[in-house]
Formats: sequence, C-alpha cells, structure tokens
Amino acid sequence: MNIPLNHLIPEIIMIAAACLVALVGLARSDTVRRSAQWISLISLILAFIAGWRLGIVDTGSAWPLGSLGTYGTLLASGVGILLVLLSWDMPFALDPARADKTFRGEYFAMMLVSLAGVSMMAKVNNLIWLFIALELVSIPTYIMVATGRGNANAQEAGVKYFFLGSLAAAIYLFGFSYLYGFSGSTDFSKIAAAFAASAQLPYIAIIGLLMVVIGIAYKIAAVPMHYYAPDVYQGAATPVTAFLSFAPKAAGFIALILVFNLTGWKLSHGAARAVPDLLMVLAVLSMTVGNVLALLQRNIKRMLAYSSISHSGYMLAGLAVGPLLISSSMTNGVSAMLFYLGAYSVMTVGAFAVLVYLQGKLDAAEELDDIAGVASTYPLAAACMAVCMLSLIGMPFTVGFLGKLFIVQAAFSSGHSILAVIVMINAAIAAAYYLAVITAMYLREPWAPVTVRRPGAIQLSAALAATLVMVLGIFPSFLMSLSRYSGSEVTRQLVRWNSPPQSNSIKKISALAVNTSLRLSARIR
Amino acid sequence: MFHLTEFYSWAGQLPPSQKACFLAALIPLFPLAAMVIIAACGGKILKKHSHVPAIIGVAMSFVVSLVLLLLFSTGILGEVMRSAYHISFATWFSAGALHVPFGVYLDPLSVLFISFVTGISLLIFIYSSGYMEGDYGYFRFFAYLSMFVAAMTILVLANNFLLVYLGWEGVGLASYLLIGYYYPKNSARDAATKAFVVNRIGDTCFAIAIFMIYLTFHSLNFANVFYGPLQSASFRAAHASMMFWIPLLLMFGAFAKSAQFPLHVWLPDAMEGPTPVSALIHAATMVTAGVYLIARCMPIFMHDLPVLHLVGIIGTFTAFMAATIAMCQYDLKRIWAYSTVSQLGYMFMGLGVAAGSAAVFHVFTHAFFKALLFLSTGSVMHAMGGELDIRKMSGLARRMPITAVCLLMGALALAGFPGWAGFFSKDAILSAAMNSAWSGGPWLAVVGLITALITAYYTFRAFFRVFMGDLVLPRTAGLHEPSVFTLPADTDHERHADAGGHDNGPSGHDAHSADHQGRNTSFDGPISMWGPLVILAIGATTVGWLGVWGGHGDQGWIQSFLSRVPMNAGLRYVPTPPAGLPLPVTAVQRLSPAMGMTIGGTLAVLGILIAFYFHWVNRHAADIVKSALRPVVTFLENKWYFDEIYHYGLVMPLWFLGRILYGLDHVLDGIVVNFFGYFPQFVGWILKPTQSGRLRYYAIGMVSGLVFVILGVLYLLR
Repeated sequence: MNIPLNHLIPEIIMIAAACLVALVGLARSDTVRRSAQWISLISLILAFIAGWRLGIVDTGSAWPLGSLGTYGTLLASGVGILLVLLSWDMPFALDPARADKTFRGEYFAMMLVSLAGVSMMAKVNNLIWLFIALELVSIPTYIMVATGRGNANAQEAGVKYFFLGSLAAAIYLFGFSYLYGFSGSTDFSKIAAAFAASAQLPYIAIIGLLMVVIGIAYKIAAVPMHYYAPDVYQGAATPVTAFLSFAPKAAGFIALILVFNLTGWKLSHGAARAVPDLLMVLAVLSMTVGNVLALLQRNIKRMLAYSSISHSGYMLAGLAVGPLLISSSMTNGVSAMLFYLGAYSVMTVGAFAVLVYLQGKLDAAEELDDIAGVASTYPLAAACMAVCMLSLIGMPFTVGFLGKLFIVQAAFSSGHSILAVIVMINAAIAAAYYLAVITAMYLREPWAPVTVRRPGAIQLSAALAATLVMVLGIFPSFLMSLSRYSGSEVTRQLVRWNSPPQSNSIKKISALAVNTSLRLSARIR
Repeated sequence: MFHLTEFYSWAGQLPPSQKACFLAALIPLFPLAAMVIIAACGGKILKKHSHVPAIIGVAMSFVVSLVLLLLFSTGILGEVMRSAYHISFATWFSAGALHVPFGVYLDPLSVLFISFVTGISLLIFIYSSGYMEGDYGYFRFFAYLSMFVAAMTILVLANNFLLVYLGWEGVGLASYLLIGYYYPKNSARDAATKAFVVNRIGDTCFAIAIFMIYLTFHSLNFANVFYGPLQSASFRAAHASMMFWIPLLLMFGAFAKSAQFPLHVWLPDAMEGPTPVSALIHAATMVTAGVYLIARCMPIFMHDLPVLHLVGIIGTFTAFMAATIAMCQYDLKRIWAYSTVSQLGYMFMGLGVAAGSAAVFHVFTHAFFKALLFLSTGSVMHAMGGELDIRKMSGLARRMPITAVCLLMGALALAGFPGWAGFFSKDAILSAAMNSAWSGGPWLAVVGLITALITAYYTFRAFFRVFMGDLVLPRTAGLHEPSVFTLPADTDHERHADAGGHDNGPSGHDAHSADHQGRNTSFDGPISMWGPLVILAIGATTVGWLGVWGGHGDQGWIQSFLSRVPMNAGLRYVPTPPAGLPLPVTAVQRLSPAMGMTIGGTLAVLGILIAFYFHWVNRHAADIVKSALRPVVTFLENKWYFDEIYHYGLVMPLWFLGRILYGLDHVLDGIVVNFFGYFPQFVGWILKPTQSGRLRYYAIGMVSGLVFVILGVLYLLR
C-alpha cells in the first residue's frame, strides 16, 4: 500500500484509540473503564480533524483515489461521533439479562476498528487490501451484534449475521479471484490497465464482477442479499442497529465505486452491458422490496431495516447511472450517490438515536405503540424523530430531499427516465410508513409512558443529527462539494484511461478536463 | 442620528410636484398605522378608547388631503403643470420585465376623491365612536374601519393597476369583515359572504383586465398605459380585440364593486353591518371605487365607445330598476341602499355619455347626502332600539328634531330638490346625456328623468312616513339596539344599555315615553352622533353650488378643477378641453341648461308632492293604490326576484354539480386511491414469507439469487 503515510493518520488514530480502549475497558476500576467513551469520542474528533486537514487530495494518476479517501474518512469519523454519542451507555447497563451489570469497554474498541475500516476503504489500491478493509469493517460488527445485548435474540442475530456475512465474503472473494485470473494481478492499476486494454471483456471478468457485486450487496443490504437485515436489525441492540445501518453500507458502496473504477465504467456495450443492467435491476428490486415490506411492519427497527434496504436501492440507482464524462455538477451519478450516502447516514443515525433515547425498558421503543404520544412528554425527541422521518421521505428543506433530487437528476440527465420515475414512485410509497411514525408520536395518546432518563449524550446525538439534516438540507454546499469532487475524481480517472492515444482532439479535451478539475481541486484545498 | 437635516435640505430642493407626491404618500399610512396600533393594543390597552387612534389617523389624512386640494385648486401646483404627477417610491416586486412600484398618481381626480373619502370617513368615524359605544369588539370595529379607509386611499392614490388592485382587494376584505361584524348572526354572515362572492366575480374580471393590459402595453403604470402607445391609431388597430376586452372587463370589475345591474345584489344585504359601515360603504370607501376606476381609465374607454355606451345603458337601467324597488321597501336602510344603487346608476350613466366630470361631481355630492341619510337613519335606529320598519313608526320629528332636520336635508338632496346638492349633480348628468354626441344619450336622459321622479317619491315616502304624521313609536323605542354578542358579559355594554333603556317590560315602555315627553331632544343621541350629522347636512345642502359657481367662465368649480385631468395627450400642458374630463367631441345642444334644470326641479317637486299626499296627508289612499296595483307591488317588494333568479339559476345548478362531482370523487377515492394504497401492501404480503427468520433459508435465498443472476447473464450473453 504505497501511499504517503500521512493519508493514513486518521486510521492510525482510530486503531491506536481502539487498542487503548480495549486496554482501558478491562481496567479494575469502573470509572477508568468508563473513560472508554471519552477516548473514543476524542479520537474520532481528532480523526475528523486529521481528515479535514488532508483536504481534497489529488493523487494524480496513481491509486488510491484521494478525494474519495477523504470523503470516506470524514464520513466515518463524523458519523462515528454521532454513533459514539448515541451508544454512550453501551453495553446496556440496565439490561436485566446481563448478570454482572458492569460496564465493559470492548464495544467501543470494536466500533473504532470498524470505523477505521470504513475510513480506510477508499484508500486501498489492491484487491487484497480491499478484502481486508471490508472484513475490518464487518468482523467487529458480528461481535457487536452478539454481545451488545444479553438476550437470545441478539445471539441469534449475531450468529445469522456472522454466517451469512461469511457466505457473502466467500462470494466476493471468489469474484476477486476471477478478477485476478483475468488480469494476472491484484494491483488496482494493473487490473485497470487490463480492463482498459480489452475491447471485448471475457466472461471470466464479467462473472467475476457479478460475483463481487452480489457479494458486496450483502454489505449494503441489497436484493438478493437482504434477507438478514430485518432479523439482525431487530435482534441487535438499538445502538448496534444504528451502527449496522451506517458502517457496512458506507464501506460497501465505497468498495463498489472502487470496483467499477477498475473497469473504467466502460461497461456500456457488448457483454459488459450486463453489469450496469444488473445494478439497475438490483436497485429497482431493492427499493421496491424494501418499501413494500416496510409497509407491513409495526416494529420500528424492523421497519427501518426494510427502509435501509430501499435506500440502498436508491443509491444503487445512482451507481448504475454512473459518472457522466464531462460533468462537474451533481448530475454525476456517483456524486449523487455519495451525497445520498452522507445524507442517509445522518438521518438514519438520527432516527435510531431517538429510539435509543426513548428506550426506557429493555425492549421499549421498538413497536409503534411504544412511541405513541411521546410528542407530549418528549417534544424535543419527537421533533428530532419527525425531522429525520421527513428527511427519509425526502421532504424539501431536509437533506433527504436533495439526495433524492440529485439521484433523480442524474438518472434523468443520463437518459434513464424510467429509473427516475421508479425512484419517485418508491419515495411516495415510503412516505406512508415514515408518516406512520410521526402520526404515532403526535396524534396518538400515550400507550406506555416512557419514564426512564437517559444520558444527555444520546439526546445530543439525536439533536445533532436532526440539526445536520436541516442545515445540510438548506446549506448543502459542504457535502455537495465533497461528493462532487469525489465523484468527478472518478470521472477524471475515466478520462485518463479511455483516451485512445491516436486521437489528438480527444486527448486535448481530456487534458483540458483534467486540468480544469485539477485547478478546481486545488482551489478547494 | 438619521441625518434629518440633510433630508430636509434634500427635500427642500425638490420641485413642488414631488413634494406633493411625498405628502400624498402619507395619506394611506396614517390609517394603516392606526389599524396596526388598534389591532396590536386595542384589546388590552386602549379598550373603549380605541376610536382615538382611528380618528386621529383619518383626520391627519384628511388634513393632508386638504393641503393637496388647496395646492391643486389655488394653482400653486395646478397652474404650473395643470395636469398629473406620478412618482414611484420603491419597488413592490419585480418579475422579469414586470416592475410594480409603490407609487402615487396625483391629478385633480385623485385629489378630489381622496379629499371627500377622508373627509366623509372622518365624520363617520366620529359618529361611530358614539354609535358603537360599549359594543363588544369595539377595537376590532375601529381596526377594520381604519383598514377600510387605508385600502380605499391606496386604491385612489396608486400609480399603477396592480397597486389599485391591492387597494381594491383590501376594500373587499374590509367590507367583508365589517358586513359580517355581527358574526353570531346568520344573516350577517350570509350577507358578508354574498358581498365577498359577488365582488370576487368583479375582481376576477379586473384581474384578467390587468393581465391583458400588461400583455398589451407591457407596463401597468397609468402614465405608460394611458399616454403612451394608446394614443397612436395604428397601435389601437393592431390590438383591436384587446381594446374591446380591456374596457369590458374593467367595466365588470367596476360594476361588482359599485353594485350595478347583474352584480348589484350584494349591496342591499350589506346593511347587515353596523349602520356607520353602511354609511362608509355607500358614501365614501367602497362603491365609489368602481366609478373612480372607470373615470381613471377613461382614456381607454374613449377608444371603445360601444363599451362606454354599454356602461351608460346598464347604469341607466340599474338606476331605474333600483328606484322602482326602493318604492316598495319598508326597511329604512334598505330604501337608502337601493337609492345608492340607483344613484350609482346615474353616475355610470354620466360616464357612459362621456361626462366624467358630471359623474364625479355626483359621486362627490352623493357622498355627502348618502352619508347623511345613513347616519341619520342610524340615529333613528339607535333611538328605536334597532327597529327600522317604516310601517311601525311615525311622527318622530317631535322626538328627534335634529335628526329629522338633518335627514330632511339629505332627502331633499337625494330627491334633487332645486338648490340642494343632488339637484345640480343629477342635472349635470342628465343634461350631459341629453346633449351627448351619441344618439342614444337622450333616451338615457328620458329614463333618468323618470327615475328622478320616482327617486323624489320614494325618498319622501320614507321621510313622511317616519317623521311626519301622528306619533307612533315601536315597542323597542328607547332601548339600545340588542347586541348580538352574547359571548362575554361585557360590562360596559350592559351599563350603556341600562342608561339608554331603563326597562325591557311593556309597562316600562310607557314610563319611558313619558320620561321623554318633556325632553324632546334626548333621542338625538350624544354630540358625537349629531355633530357629524349637522356638518353633513350643511354639506348636502351647499356642495351642489360648487357645480355652478366658482369656476372659470360659466363653469362650476368642480368642472374647471377636473378639466385639468389629462385625457388623450401627454402628461403635461394639456390644452384644456371645454368639458374637462369628458370626451372632447362637440356636444349637440338639444336642451339648454336652464330648461334641463327646470324640468328636473319640477319632477322632483312633483314626486315630493305625490309622496306628501299619499304618505302624510292621506295614508289610507296609499293602501288603496297599493292593493289596486298588487302584482306590481309584489314584484317590486321582491326586488324583481333577482335573488330568486340567482338562487335557482346559478346557485342550485352549481350545488347540484358539486354534489355530482362529490359523488364521483367518492367513487374515485374508494376505488382508485384505495387500490394504490393497498397494492404495495399486498405485494409486501406476498413477499412476507421470504422473511422466515431461518438461517438456512436465508443462505439458500442468497445463493440462489447469485446463481439466478449468473445464469441469467450467461443466458443473455449466449
């Protein structure tokens, strides 16, 4: 992994903090053990600052992708801060199923390792490293699911998640081996060169790609690898569910971008056409299956699991549209997808934060009935939840609206109007179950009043997320420029690979495009 | 500090016309500020002193208007430029090429209008402070009144059509709020709704006219519309259809606001509001807006004479129709309401024969005597405990002499008795129609003369019935008008009712009459009520002479004042056309002014004499005549069945259509919407078994998904 070491400072901070937390979490004194959260929080803030200082990095023609790496780091550490805040009293000390009732810090160590994996994802330049990063994200989450909660449901969810996750890992690893067989190397630049060199892709490459896509679809909970999501989301402790809705998904989407980058997004004709078509079919199936099944749910966590499937569908639609050649705006499908990823992370984490906050008893605040009428007793929490739900629907003045807007815009401007229409119909269907949550909170009488006080950190997390949803919905320029440069970086690589040496004019145009984006990225930095 | 001295020195260097415009811009601001103050602190702080800001606001506007009137009439402004000034202060909004400014348009027409609007309003405000004393929602009433006047002044002073429309809608809203002021009463709510809906019809026409004006002239400013390309014949020929539709739609807009024939039905019902509101609507702020609009848009109408003549024909018909209805009404306020419709018809007759200054003159005099009539009627109503049926009262002159004299002055003016205000202005319109270049004019004049006879008759029918003859008091006499507000126990109101009305029982009535036997004036109410009456009575008696004296040459002051309104040339240095505002075509002399005055006066006296015989000397004879003419009387008592025609011709069909559409909607709701609602759930229900919760099935599902994808792709690539 021959990249400058300073690019890895955020990951180094996170891993170091993870080791420290693992040590501190085993200390004799309860007070010392409880410093684990603070260490995690501070390390994530430091990682965010380090990522910020990296800025939009132009790595030239070499892998890895600088801007996407920065994007991944900022996303992982930024959303990680929210996640640490909302799991402030994890593992749940009030859990009656826990025998010892003592606090253990390893939960936060696992979380930090997983976040480091997300952060590292875009910085890899080798298939092996890609696999390691993916597993770095996943393996801690298996442990978190199984140990986050003391009851049998969590154990069951952990086992399911682990076995099915291993199956998925096997599938994409198998796909990696085909890519190796096709190109003779695990190095990204060599694979990319092999793709660029072959006018007609051999079946081995296409099937390899398909297996990689299907395997990674498990991470993002897309059809046909979505079966685990509802059971695992419901069985895991709510902070863990929040984590699951973010970390594997972000990692999976970044990995997919990297894999398609290897192909140079040059899959528009011949047999290679199968891959983007497959992506589009998966997108449509994911959003539809997720939405119609979410309609039937009374359990909010299960509902949010299906909603996460459908949102993966929206993001896959952006990915299927792909980057447009000369495009610095959000009509770039990859940029739209990256924007949506950030938006979705914030709003779903906000929704889970409210659920965690409202969890008085062990299993409370899971059914719709549990949160009935909380608007009268917990107006702030209800307002945060309402903001997140409206954003998930895609209401204007929330970040979710802009996310959907960009996806639809990208689909339209690349000529996939049917896909855009399906996205919009699905958004309309989704409104039904999100609004049911708001209705339950605001219009119904309290069913079982929630009385237990929770730490202020959880409330802070919910409020921060809701504020971010509003602020990014009205002033989206920060997230927009981040995702735009990450997306156009992909375009830039594409231009470089696709330029046939014999054509002078195309060379000039691509040189112009490269120079323009270089100048733009320099300005951003 | 805000560099006030610099502002003064800057303002000092402005030409006088611009100073006048800045001054004029203050006029709507005073009542607007009063409205805000009353609305903000009327309920808690001002309470029963809520009338103070309103009166101060409108009084300041009136003073400013008088200053402007003096500037224009003495020639300080008028002689220098003789015409119109307009200025835009700020941009209201702009969209594309459309820029709508806040601006003022000053010319003798708007200055005359603004003067009597604010002046009459001031008197009505003062009267209201006595009339409405102790009423629940006192502050609300004055906030609405101030808003009414503010909207009307905006309407009159605006320098573009959209700003006029703002005032136009503001007037509509304020009238809606004030007519429905006694909102617990069903009839008041219905009347308010009726007024609003009927006005909406006109507003819509006006709005479409504004769109067309913008499409045609690419501007909404008066100066650009009236004195720009409109003057070139080729432009008019190129926009021939617009030149027809714009005035036609403007006409309908004006007719709704001014209660003319197809759209007159709201005005008689509008008396459901408190009496000062009726006075305000009928005299100053609402119904005159239509006349103002057509007078203002005269340059457009001039180029489409058929529409202008249609204005005159409908106006004349309305005048006649409303006068006949007024003959057979028994509610005093309703009689005056129909008389307003009738008099407005005269004004449109004047506009229709292009005698704009005569029409505006009639608006001016009408404002005085109609305000006077309504306010005097309000005094009667106040004294009679809300009773206004002229069959139930008689000989009130002995009880309330001041009111009786004031009402007599108003009645003489309305009847057109020689020397009183209405005589001169009505005569101006009739002689203009008689001598119009248009051959239809004399016919209108003949109908107008017949209407004048009827007018004199019904006016004095009401007067003689109520004030002359034997003393008959309704049972409610002396009681305060029963308040419709039962919501809170308003202590002020109760005290007031006690002071006025002693006892509710029948025995108390006799004691009450006896009590007032010795003190005849006590029914006239407080000075805040009869003071304005006296001033208005003086006005109603004298302002008519302004149409005969005081002008250049043999013209009256009004005519020569209004003659400076530019009609069809540039904004400045207009060669004064002989008849001022009206059409500069050579009028035909069919009837000399002296002859016209003689005929008009004679008819008025004749009408009064008929009323004198039937309604004072020999009331029994009236009943005999009435039973002899039963069908006609029934027809007139039912107001030509207009309400019924509208109900069965318009309301019921629309209601049926609504029911049918509602049923269709229900079906659509039931089938289509529910289908789309349940379909996704149904799909979900089908997919639900895939989520069995068993690990092995999930693994099988994942692997089969992979196999399916790969086999499918291979099949496609085969």
